Amino acid sequence: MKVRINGREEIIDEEMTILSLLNSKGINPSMVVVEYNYEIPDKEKWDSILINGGDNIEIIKFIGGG
Amino acid sequence: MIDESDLLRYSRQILLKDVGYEGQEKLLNSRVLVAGTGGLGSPVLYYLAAAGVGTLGIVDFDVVNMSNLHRQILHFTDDVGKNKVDSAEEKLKKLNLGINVIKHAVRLNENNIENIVGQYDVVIAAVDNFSTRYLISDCCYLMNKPLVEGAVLGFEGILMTIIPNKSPCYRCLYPIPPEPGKVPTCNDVGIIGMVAGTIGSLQALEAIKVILGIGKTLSGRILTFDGLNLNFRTIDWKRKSNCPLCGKNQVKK
Repeated sequence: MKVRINGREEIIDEEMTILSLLNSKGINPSMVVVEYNYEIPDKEKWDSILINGGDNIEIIKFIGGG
Repeated sequence: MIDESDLLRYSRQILLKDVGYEGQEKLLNSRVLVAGTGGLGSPVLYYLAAAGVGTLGIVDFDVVNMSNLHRQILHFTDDVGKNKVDSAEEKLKKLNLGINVIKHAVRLNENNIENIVGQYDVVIAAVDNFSTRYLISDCCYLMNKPLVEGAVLGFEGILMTIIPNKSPCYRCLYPIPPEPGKVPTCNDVGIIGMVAGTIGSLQALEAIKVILGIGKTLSGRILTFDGLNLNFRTIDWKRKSNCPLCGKNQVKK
């Protein structure tokens, strides 16, 4: 199914959660926050939110240097 | 009143219809706190001093190190070993004697931050660690001070402008600090100077927009910058209803 990830359309498998999406991309979940359809869900919900076709996902890294 | 030499100094920005004479007076009467005089703080301070922001507070407890110089453009080779606030003040005064520089050579903590932040209209977070970012963000929210929050790492940067009670806050994005040691720092993975210059320049721009009330600030949007692939993106975001800081059941005090 088609979703939008960081502004780009991508095809991902059905039945994916936010957590499995991060895992499939090799992204360490402790290094990012995720905006899901313009809301920022709590991290504890990442493995229970099922991604639907057309969803908008932003994966934003923790950046704190100066 | 702006004197004659200042009229000349600021003439090209007074020409801007969004600034004008009144805007320049506003800048000269404004007070901005810049926390950190490193890779971000250097360009922030340079541009704000050049633009005639009348009072600049600078916070840094650190001394200039040789490994700072590739990105921290307010500090020169001769400054290695000096307090960063002294090194920064020296350059800012050479650039523009018409502004006040207030030095806070301290490490921000829960006991001193309110007294320092309370003296300023706008705060710019240009620090190098998460614990100070959370401290500044929480304090600015509770004291109702606009905060321009910028951060860099490697070739990437992130920027947001936080207007308390109007825009989402830092904790709406990052509700709790990352686990210590899990997220790399500039000391671990490096930082390219130009990326700090880019984000720092944008922080200064956001600050003067907030002061002048012009244009559309980044509040309600997050800007991410990937310098390696030269990609700027802005992401719309909303307040988090259960944000630990600005949410309905706030737990932070």
